Amino acid sequence: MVKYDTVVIGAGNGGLACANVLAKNGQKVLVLEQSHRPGGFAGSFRRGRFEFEVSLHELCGFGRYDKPFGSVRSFFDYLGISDKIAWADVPEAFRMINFNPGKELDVTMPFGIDEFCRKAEEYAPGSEKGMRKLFALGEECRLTVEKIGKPVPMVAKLYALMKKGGFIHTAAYSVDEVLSKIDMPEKAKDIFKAYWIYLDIDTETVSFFHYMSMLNSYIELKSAIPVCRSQELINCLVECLESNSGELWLNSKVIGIDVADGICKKVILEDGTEIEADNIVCNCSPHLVYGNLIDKKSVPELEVKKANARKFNGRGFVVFLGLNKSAKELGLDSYSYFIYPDMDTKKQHSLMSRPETNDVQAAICLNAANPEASPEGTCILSMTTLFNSDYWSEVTAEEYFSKKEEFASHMIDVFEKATNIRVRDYIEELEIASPETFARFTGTPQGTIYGYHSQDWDGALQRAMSLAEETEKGIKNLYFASGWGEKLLGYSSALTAGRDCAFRVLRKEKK
Amino acid sequence: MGRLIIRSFSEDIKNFRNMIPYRKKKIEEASATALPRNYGVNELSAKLHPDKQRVRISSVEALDGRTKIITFSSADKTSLAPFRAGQGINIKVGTETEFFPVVSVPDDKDYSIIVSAACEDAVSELLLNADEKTELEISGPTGLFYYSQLRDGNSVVLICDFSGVASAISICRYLSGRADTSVRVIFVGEEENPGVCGLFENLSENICFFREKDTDGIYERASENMNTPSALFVSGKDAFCGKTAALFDDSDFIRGRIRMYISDPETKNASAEKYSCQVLYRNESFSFECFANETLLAAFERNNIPTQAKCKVGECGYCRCKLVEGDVESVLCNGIDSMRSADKKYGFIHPCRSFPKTDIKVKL
Repeated sequence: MVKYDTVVIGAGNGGLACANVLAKNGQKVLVLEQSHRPGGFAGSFRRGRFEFEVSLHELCGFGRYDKPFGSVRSFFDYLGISDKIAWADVPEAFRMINFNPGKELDVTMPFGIDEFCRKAEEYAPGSEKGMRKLFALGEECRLTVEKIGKPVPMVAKLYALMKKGGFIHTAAYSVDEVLSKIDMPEKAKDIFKAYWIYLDIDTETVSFFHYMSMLNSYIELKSAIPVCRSQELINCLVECLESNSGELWLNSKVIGIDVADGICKKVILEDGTEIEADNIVCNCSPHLVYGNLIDKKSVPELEVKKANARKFNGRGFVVFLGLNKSAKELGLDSYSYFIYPDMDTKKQHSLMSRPETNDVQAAICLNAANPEASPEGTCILSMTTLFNSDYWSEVTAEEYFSKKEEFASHMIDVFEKATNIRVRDYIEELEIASPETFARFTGTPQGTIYGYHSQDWDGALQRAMSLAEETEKGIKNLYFASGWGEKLLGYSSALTAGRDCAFRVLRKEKK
Repeated sequence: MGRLIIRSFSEDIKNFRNMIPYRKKKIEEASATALPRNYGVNELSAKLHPDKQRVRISSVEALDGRTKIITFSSADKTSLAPFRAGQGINIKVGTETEFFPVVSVPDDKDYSIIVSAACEDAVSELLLNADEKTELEISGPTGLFYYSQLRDGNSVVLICDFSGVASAISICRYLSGRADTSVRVIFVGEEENPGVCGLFENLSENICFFREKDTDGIYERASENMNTPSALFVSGKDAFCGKTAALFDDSDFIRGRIRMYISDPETKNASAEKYSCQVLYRNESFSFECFANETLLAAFERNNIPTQAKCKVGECGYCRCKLVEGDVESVLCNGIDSMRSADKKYGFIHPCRSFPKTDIKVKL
């Protein structure tokens, strides 16, 4: 039987990030991937003369040359791959369109905290002071958490916690609750909440800390996309892994993890191959690991209860359009379009359970960041939404294709209505990814692309703060690298979650 | 900046300190029922895209001396995966896999295919000699040559030769009777295919059928008395498809691209030069011979290499692998290069469209 220091299940962002750090530190690592293509939610596919992003596209918190700390770029620098990949800057943070009659809002917001706050003031006079206060709070939170995470004396940690207090006073509260204490026009608050769909948690529920960490990383550290789509980053991570003697096996589905005396020992592939490992890192959902891969008798009760207490977050639905008119001709000037029927996020979140009421979407025009993303005279537009129900498991096989196309048509209607840009007449290529598609290629339960819902007890902070204790009570030598873990799902966060997981494995090995 | 207090100084601290105990309580209160093994969406996904389906031949109908329509029904109690009009299935016999477009329509539930002795491959030969009730294994429905209302619109032109007739019939039958959709079919073939032409009979009024002897009259037929079609589907042999597409080269005939199904993608006239091929798969290595006039994928299949493949025209990317050493010639089907830009940059190839030019080493 082959034996490895660490076997990683799943060659997505988290798995490849983790495997790379381990291999770089001398471990014998094997990554197992069920699909024929590494990358999971990051990657690309072709239709005709177009190449589409699978789902993830922009890396937030990419980093600035003058302020590289905390960014994904510093991780890529650590691996030595930053400059191997061609990057394109995303030109602006977002365009948000709220088409609620009477409360209409159509704003295009820039990167940079100063620029963002000034622009908000233009759209909503009287908002600049409040907006700056929010970003300052965000920065306080970030610095405090950074201090807590570092191996410094407890006294210093407590001092960091209490010094300015922004973190300790907001940590337990939602975005809406913190916003209620900020003197700012309603319109500015709506602008502030624009990114909520990227976490798929309404602002009444999402923790201020979590939301602010994301907003800060977008606005302050900007975002970028790989020119050759996310597949370039993935191919580069695979090459880097192999250059450190790490291995990747494609078309290798894991069907079991052997656990004896509370310690995981080996993985079993679909074809019966058994692979022994000191550590097993899962870049997939705990539901899958504890429900399907490990014998029920070996799963600790805590893990079962924790999984049962959790809720799946959004199930993905994406419409990919290859249009035979240029972005300029069509008037698609922005990269990201957040389209909301109104900014009652709680209501919209619940309406995203049925196709007939789901009018929320985030659309991307790749050409706005990368003019050469498609041939001259064409452009790529993709529209993403999420379903917060299991609607797509109620659809029958016979009606699946028509239902899928019907809802795609609805999403195009919504986009056209909100932007007043006609795209329907220029469709040269069309592909639609439903929750079934995501389930098919990644095995994710119910087609969930956003991990577990960040409920009031299960936010990023609570997960991070409980990680050590909960790991201690779990199966020994079993780890989670993905966005299903403490950082929640996202392009950059899945990568850093993988990185942090690798350091946990290395620390344990050192002991 | 002054300190921001949300509820009150002490309540904020209290709530902060309560975060973890609250989490513990929530977990403690949760059910300890074992986690589900299956999920509805994942089950539906598996039903829609099975790797394999066990089928039984339920009927064999001779169209003429050399051509038969063979219908498959599910051999177990499950129903066959639904397909989209124009798609097909792969059937493997021994080490050889052949693709057959489905001639039936999604509502039929069963799959019918047209098998012709003219194909001269082992799979067609076996099927032509098979009796009713014979059981075999086929793939799930596959292929990007299908009609989509949202993309292809309501004014469709289908042009096919004998080898591409099945997918054209399927799309025709699917659109038959739709008052808002007009379909024009141009079949290019000889009189000796009366059985095949008969399949276009009894379709509703919105389908116009034409037969042409050769490709010369196609453009006229396709465009006469017709507004700009919203989609053009061409199916048949590589040379036929190329010739047909060229007829529309300089026109604004359709809004999208010409969609093609090529029935004989592997053809290449080259010397039968022999090379060595080494395949690295997991921690194993396989070595065998390959030839300049066959695709690498054909060489892999002949040697039972555990490779993945679906379309064989370079489109689906399932056979994607890394060229470690050597050089190949990539021959595109229908002029469209379906390699990912990043895959090109990192030395990947699609073996189904790659012919060896030197000794080869690849990693699966």
